[in-house]
Amino acid sequence: MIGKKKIIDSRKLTGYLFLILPVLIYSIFFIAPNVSALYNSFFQWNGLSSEKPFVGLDNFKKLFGDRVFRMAFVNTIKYTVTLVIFQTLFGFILAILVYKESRVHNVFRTIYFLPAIMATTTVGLIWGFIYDPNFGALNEFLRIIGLSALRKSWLSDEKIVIYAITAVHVWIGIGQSVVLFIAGLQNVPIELYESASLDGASAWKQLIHITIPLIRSTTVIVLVLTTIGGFKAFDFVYVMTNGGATHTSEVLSTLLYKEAYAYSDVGLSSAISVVLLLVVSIITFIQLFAMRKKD
Amino acid sequence: MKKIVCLLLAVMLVGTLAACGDSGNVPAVAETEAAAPAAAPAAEAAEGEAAPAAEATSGPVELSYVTWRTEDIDVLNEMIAAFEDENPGIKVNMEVTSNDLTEYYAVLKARLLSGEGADVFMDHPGPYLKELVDAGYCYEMEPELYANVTPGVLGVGQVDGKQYGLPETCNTFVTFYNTALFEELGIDVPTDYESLKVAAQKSKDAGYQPIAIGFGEAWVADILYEALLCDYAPENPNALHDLETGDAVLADDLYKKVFGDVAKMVDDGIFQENLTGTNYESGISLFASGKATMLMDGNWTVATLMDMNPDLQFGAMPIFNTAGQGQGISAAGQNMSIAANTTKLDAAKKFVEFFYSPEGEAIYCNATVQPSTVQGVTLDIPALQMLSDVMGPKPADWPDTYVENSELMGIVEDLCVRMAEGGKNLDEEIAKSQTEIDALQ
Repeated sequence: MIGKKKIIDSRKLTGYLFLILPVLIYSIFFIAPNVSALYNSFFQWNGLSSEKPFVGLDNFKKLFGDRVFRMAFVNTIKYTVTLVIFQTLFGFILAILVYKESRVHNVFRTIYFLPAIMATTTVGLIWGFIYDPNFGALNEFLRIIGLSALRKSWLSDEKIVIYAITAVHVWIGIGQSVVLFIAGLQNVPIELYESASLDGASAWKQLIHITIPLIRSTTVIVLVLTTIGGFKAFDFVYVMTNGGATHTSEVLSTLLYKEAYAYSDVGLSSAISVVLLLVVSIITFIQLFAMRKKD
Repeated sequence: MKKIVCLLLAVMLVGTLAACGDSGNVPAVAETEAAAPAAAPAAEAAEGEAAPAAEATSGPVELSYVTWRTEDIDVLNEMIAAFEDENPGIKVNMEVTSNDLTEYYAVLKARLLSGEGADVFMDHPGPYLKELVDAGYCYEMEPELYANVTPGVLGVGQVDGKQYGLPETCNTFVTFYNTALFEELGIDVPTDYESLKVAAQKSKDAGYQPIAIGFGEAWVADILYEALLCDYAPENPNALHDLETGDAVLADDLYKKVFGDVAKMVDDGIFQENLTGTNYESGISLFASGKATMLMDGNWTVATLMDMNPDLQFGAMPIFNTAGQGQGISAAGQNMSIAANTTKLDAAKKFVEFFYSPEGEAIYCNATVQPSTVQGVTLDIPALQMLSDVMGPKPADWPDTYVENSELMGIVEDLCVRMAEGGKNLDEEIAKSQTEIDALQ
């Protein structure tokens, strides 16, 4: 008995020791910066000076009275909602088409996932050229096929710019959603479909009553990941428009970056990051709560 | 045995992580506080006399030089090679970020905070230099270092009367025009706004874009509205500084004329289509490729234009306001500064001395086709004479040199681009921007 207890304790110890590294990494790279941002949000600081006066909630008050912050907030919501809807929907549809094992399906899965492995900066730059109103391939293509009237200033028209950028993010992100949905779909027992077919259920009914309910947990994961990805969106906006000359495509991430590095207002930038953290946390919690299984 | 091996692996991983921690990567915003103690010695040094810096005494000294000027990489490498030939004990490591100034200052500040990677660096006059000086990161230069620099331009590198930066070149802002296209289309070189409108219309009638300018990037707006400020108030270089001090408001006559002009110019169709959707490089490409007959830009573009299209023949004219005035403009360009916390002060001073010698400056200005700020420099490029003619004998001083808060620039640029979008009410847009300026005070 004593020998057995020693083995158990030693195993626990080994386990804890292996946890040290990931906890350390998580603390240094995730927890510490967030705590630091929360702390800095109560100060007025340019990031360089040794002077750092405490201003309490002034940074947060300034934010909510700021026109550009409100624009960035609304843009972030539009970006996220669009991203979630289209990346989830298209990801699911494509996954349904290719989840069964076959050589052809494997090829298509690779094709769908390819954009996900491209560097986001490179993709953003390329799409920036494609969308260019003077030299871009998109407007030129529309001209060639006789749809010149549809040519637009894709990255400056305030009505469409945020959706034009989100479309690129959807294109890149679909691969991730497809992979997750395929994993979920392949876990659905095939016998359920067989018995449903025997009972005369159509493909559509099988989809609604078998597939969708049984991949609920996968759907939750896709929704949560996509939502977080939408709120954190930075790369494409920064590379393609940098928020736009009049902030028409400004999102919270690009705004907090500019406040810190263009305007040297680290306090205000930290306040934006705190607001972003709170909003994402609340929305994620709501999503998980709404999608929990009801027994 | 297995457990021992696994534990050893875990320890090795932690050790590897610790070793990688000093890679000099740009820290996140939230981590800059941890590096703030590095600023304290620099600040203390700036308050009193210049603290002597510890100098490496053995082996070649490695000097770090940071700039954003991607267009100057070739000539800078040439100058560095020439400097290293003259100074075999010094090796210069140049870091060039992109032209995006937000990115540049993010990298520069990270380097300065860490105390490594920026012994000599470029910066802009106005709020950028002031911020660095106030934080104690700029070395106060001795007169010997700037003995060759034209005295009249030294002011842009000063804060509170002390010299912290040396202006590298002199900028001016003009409207370039394609001489071959003008001749082909029978367009006379405009001498006022009315003739500019005629030139624009003739260009469009022939299927060309008129004036190209990249308003898709907010900073480009500075070229237009500051030129208009110089046209309307050539004797008032504080036209922007007055806004941040509250001595002037946007509703004043001067600013209403300037931003009203922006709207009128757009309505009169003197700019290319997709004005606010065109980024800076696209604007230059439109002109260089012959798709636009004119380009509104700064003199630094001349070298780029000659590079993009060696066959391009072009001239320059002032930027006119709608009242027909076209003022020559002079703006001392970027400064070179020495980091107050550098440990290679002697080497940094030698580098600056080389750069601001007539020989060094001649290499730089001839290659980049920019006017020099150094006396006794021989430049023999026709394009520079053309720019000098437009500047005239008494150019107006560029207003943003005297701004202290970079956020003000953002607000005014935003106003200019909103007016350039067209269909906006001037008074309403001015009121919006004034609210934002008031919040800065």
